[in-house]
Amino acid sequence: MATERRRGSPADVEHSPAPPGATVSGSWFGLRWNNTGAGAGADTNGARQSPSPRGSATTGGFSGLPALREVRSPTGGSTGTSSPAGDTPAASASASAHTELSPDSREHPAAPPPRLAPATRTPEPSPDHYSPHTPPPLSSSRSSPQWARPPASGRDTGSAPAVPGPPAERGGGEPGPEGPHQLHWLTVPLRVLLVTTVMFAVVGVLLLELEPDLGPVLTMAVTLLFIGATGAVCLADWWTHTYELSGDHLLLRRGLVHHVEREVPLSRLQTVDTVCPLLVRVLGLAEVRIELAGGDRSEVRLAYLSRYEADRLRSALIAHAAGLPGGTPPPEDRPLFVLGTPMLLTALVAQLPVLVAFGGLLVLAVVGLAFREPAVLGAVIPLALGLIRGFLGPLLRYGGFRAAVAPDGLRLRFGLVQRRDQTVPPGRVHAVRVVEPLLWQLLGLARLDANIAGHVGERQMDSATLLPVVPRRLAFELTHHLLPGVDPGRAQLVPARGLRGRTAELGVTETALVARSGVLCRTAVIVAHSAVQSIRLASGPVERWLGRVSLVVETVPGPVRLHAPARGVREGWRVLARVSSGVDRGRMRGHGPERWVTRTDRWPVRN
Amino acid sequence: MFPRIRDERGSLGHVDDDSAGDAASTARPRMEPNTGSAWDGGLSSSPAADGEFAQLEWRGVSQKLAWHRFVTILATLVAVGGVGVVVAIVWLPPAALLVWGGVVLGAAVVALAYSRAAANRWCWAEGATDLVIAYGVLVRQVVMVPYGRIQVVDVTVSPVEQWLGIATVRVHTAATTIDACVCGLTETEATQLRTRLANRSETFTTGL
Repeated sequence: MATERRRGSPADVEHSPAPPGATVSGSWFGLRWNNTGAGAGADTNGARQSPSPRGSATTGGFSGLPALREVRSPTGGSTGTSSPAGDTPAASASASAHTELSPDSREHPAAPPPRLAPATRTPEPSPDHYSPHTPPPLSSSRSSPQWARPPASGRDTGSAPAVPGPPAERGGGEPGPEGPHQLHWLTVPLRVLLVTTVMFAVVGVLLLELEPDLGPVLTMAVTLLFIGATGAVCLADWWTHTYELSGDHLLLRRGLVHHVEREVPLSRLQTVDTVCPLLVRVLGLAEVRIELAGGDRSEVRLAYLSRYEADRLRSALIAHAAGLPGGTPPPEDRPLFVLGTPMLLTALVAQLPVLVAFGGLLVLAVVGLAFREPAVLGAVIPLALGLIRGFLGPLLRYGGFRAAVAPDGLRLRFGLVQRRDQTVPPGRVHAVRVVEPLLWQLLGLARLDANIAGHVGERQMDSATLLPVVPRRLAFELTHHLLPGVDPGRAQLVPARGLRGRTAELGVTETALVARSGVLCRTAVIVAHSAVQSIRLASGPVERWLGRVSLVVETVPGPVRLHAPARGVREGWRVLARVSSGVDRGRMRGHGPERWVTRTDRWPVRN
Repeated sequence: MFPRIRDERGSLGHVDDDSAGDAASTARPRMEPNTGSAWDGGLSSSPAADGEFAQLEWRGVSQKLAWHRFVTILATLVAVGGVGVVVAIVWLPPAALLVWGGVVLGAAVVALAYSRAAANRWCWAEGATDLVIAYGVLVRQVVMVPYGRIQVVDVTVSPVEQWLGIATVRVHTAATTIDACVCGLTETEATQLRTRLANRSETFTTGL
């Protein structure tokens, strides 16, 4: 019996940690994970050429962050290049191809540089776990604060003296949006227009029908009255609605009669989106949506700001959340991926439901035309609706998709009609899933979904998919950016027991759980230990008889869920133990993703 | 009261029914399985817990939990049985009444056994970094919640629980789907567990 044979097999041991210093060739679904060479692809080389091969993964995630610490470190010099693997990009390029640093050496540099400045904001527990870098006090920075240099512009900070460079040209000394600000005045007419249109469509038509002779006059009067009333309300609302950045908080005030004042702690900020529906976009406006991790009502919407204001607010918010002053000029981003229309079209066509629906439509059209039979319309309409949903919708939604990586997060921009700018700061992604439907496997394409705290319900649908269509290789590359400090490449995938075998595999590393499943539609799920909310082992009567358990990992709500069926009991407990210690280690290394730039520790950790 | 039950895995250190109040403060016997390795939460016939979990100090819950389960099931049974009786009297021959009575009685017996098993199965352990709960009769489950992930700890007491003098400690995390609770604690015990968990969640917290 297959299960009996397996029970004593190495399947019980494979979750043991890799020996320190072992050479793991990071083979991840056939991709070389840590390879800095040509395998990474031309457009991602910038991220790979960090001074330490694991540096970009373990310290900053978005790989500019280590550089920032170097720049701002009072001790100067080579403090940032803490890994012994090599101090120069050239050295690392050769050394890092297959070398893994042992966890210990990753945690601590060999010889900590002397501490020059007293710790201003050292987190209290066990200083052993923090790097000795002390962030300079935020207030006394004569050198204007700035984000790390973009990853693409060369990583020469390891050898260069750590003197903060001159501020970037664009808006260098520009103050952040501190004082109370109002929304753009065009908001008022826009709102009035919107409400009036709806009113006219509902009531106006009725009035017109009601009195053929009096109708137009009455309608006009009612409409004018309505416009006046709405205008007054909207004007009052606009007048009282202000936002203000003070310290670490975003202050929102609103309401003339019913006064509401909201104070939003920016340390809880999860994502910042800028949304521009078509009309709003034409007027040069934008809506800013701030996502906080707090359930259904926690979203903050500021509608509408001018495009410039929106951009400024966005970068100021993220800078604040990262622990930098609000006036910090936005970092330059490095283009990561542009989804061309041909690729999007191909991917959308190469979906089985779309193909089937299209074929059905064709057949029906031919039949309907040949026999002049109007009854086919009954089937045509649902098929057409399905096509709109599966093909046209994504096409409009994801047209012009481009992704970029900046020190302040992953930036996504997409939408043909409704333009959307999404910024996901590092460490806010809890779980990642790479989905490869059947036909996309042939094309080498994949989709990347993610769980982000606070994106619940309707909003989850809005932003569950981070990359709709992306080359498979790039999708796996990006998991690296989205889950900083996580090394899924080291996972040795263990097949499930019994019949499931290779169709459901689970691997555990020191930092992450990796599960792969499916044959026709392949999915790979990665959850960092530090994002695990709870783990459940369950075994029903049959499973117990076979000596198996299934393992479910819960993270924040979202589309991604890690479920590994048919594991051994002992293996399940071992996974529990490893995740438990991983969570603990994550705790010691960081204090959550807040103020990730100025933190003294080296491991960004998400909740 | 239910008699104390010892199942095949040996002493689980159940809370004594008669002990009042400070049952939590009395040190419970540590899980000492005869086989020489640790209990695994009933997930398999052979013990398999490993690593740090081999040293877990499992604690059982009060036998009153069995009563609670039984009363809850019995209420449903009475409702269903009553409807059946009415139907049988109005439309069916008298023999049906007997059959129905037998079925309901049988169900009650099964419920009794189930309740006892459920109360016996439910146990929890406070590890170094996580709370571990094992429960389930047919589908055995083990849930591990790291202390740092605990957002809210509730103590809830339903009317039946109030009558029996037990309470439920419910643990909430940022994942909404989770259902981790420790049932059948005495109220003092529940409050103490809540305080401990809340303190640890503060100590271990990583922020959101």
